[in-house]
Amino acid sequence: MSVSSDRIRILSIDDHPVVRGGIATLIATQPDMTVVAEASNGREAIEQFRRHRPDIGLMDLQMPELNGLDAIIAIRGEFPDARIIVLTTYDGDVQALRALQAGARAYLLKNALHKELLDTIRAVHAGKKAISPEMSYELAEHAMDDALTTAEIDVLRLIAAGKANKQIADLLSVTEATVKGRVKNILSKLGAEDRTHAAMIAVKRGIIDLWR
Amino acid sequence: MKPSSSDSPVIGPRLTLAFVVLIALIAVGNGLVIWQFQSARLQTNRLAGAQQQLIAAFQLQVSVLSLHQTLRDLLESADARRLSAETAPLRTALSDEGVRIRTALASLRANTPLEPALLPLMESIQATLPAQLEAINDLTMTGDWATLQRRLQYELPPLEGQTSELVNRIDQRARDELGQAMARMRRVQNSILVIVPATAVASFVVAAVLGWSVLRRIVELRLEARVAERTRIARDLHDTLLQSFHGVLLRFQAATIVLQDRPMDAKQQLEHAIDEAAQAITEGRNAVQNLRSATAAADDLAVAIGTLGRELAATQATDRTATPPVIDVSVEGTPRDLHPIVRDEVYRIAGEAVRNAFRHASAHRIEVDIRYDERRLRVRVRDDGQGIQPAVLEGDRPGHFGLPGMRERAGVIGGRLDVWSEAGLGTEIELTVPAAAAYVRSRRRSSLFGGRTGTYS
Repeated sequence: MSVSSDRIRILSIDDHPVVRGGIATLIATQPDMTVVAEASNGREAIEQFRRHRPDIGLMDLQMPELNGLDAIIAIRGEFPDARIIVLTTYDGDVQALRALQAGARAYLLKNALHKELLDTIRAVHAGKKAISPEMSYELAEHAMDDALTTAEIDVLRLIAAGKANKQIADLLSVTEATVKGRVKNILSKLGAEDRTHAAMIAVKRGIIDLWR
Repeated sequence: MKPSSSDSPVIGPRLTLAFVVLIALIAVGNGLVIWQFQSARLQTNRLAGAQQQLIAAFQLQVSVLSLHQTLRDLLESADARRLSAETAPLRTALSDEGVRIRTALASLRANTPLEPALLPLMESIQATLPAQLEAINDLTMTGDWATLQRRLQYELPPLEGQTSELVNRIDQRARDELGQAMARMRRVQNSILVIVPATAVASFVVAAVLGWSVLRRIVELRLEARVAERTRIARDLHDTLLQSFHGVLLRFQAATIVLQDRPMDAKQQLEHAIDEAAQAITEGRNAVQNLRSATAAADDLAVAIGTLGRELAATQATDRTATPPVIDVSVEGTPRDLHPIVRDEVYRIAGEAVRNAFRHASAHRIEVDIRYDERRLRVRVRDDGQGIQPAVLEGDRPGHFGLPGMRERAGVIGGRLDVWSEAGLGTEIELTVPAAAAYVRSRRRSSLFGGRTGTYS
């Protein structure tokens, strides 16, 4: 395989073959970049990163076995200058923030991929950072919000699973009064009207993930 | 965090505890009341026994005294003929009285204490009386009235004394029993006045708590089921339609980029994108089918699965060149009415197995066995295809709810799913649901349709 050294070498990571196929096709139209390997989950992504040392990793977040966020953390732990672009369906600001804090260089929404992917790859390869415009509004919107504590996120996750305060208290081994206090904080921090609203906001902003 | 309801027991320990407490409360309350009534009944029996003995003793005393009075009167008159004529009926009367008393005492309850002196005294009266009367008769014949009078003077008073002493003793005992009975009755009354309202109030409270908990649990379970269902829908959409659209969009973009310079490449990419879009529509349709109450139109499981098989075969016949597998659905046992949710889930699980066999197994023949057992519903889907890779058997293949999803669904309706598969030898899945979870209890299907074995293919 003869790959000229001036091409941007890309690792494409997504559990959906259709998306990987689309990305490969789009990138194949560009003379200055090439897909060197593909992976369908976080674990494979780490292995392929070790083997190919790509210039850019395109990382989906919702994946089986090992999700994208954990894979980013693991890869950045091993290769501190790894350049990873997150590709995701969801525009939750908290999820984006977590990915960026984990070391992702860019955060792209899949619905804008066909327009933004190629430019973003070049920008990140040149050392810049990038966020989908839609995403940047979301981040700005909540930039000054009080962040939820991990304890509050645990409660929120159980609320979203349809549990009542008493059950949540049992599951987390705390008193019902504690749960009530946390729920009150959650509602005020998220600006939610009730529990259901809070759960909806939590899913939308990527605070919790209903996947696993 | 898995939004499945199988990670917590469905009824919950609190509910079970409340139910047990309620039953215990009702049992203990009723037990106490019965115990109180039983002790009151025993006391009443003792009292009745004492009263009967008292009456018997009184009658005995009256008989003895009236006999003695008659004897004294006759002696006063000194009429020998009248004396001998009238002593005979007196004797008979006293003997009859003895029999009556004995019968009355024999009918007393076994545990009633009997005055020990009553019967012996009566016997001795009955034994000595004839002799006395005989002697009196003899004396009247000789006309020795003085001796007779002396004799009666000595012999009658002790008997009278004994009798009256006996009466006094029994009377005393009856009074004691009456006093005890009154006290006992008062206690019983008080106890019952406390026990009955206390049991009623406590039972009501526990029953109210129980009812409330049941209601809450139902709401919780329904909420959890709704959340789980919504999550599943979101996951299905994310895994199928959305990803396909993203992929197709990228291909379109690639095609527009190369359109000018390399039109043939662009055409190829567009064709590829069109294929993927068609595939996405198929997947979307399947997802929608999964959402719809799958068996609502045909409430018969076998008919629904047979229809699905026909549809899949028709789709595959137009899509591909290979001949689609033959599907054979058979029913064993008497078909029973299934709970609608169970019916839907069984249909979805079996349907997914059939779909897998159509899509991935390259099978020639698919057999679906539905067996309505007395104890369980059992559905088997067997194919003669290439089998499942061990990795897929364990793991979660994206884009499908796959085997783990099928297991999860089986768990939600209280059933279990077993899978056997070997490379080249085909795949068999078996879903079993216990009768209690699967069948609608009240209405049995008419036996007119029972025991049929049919083929819907």
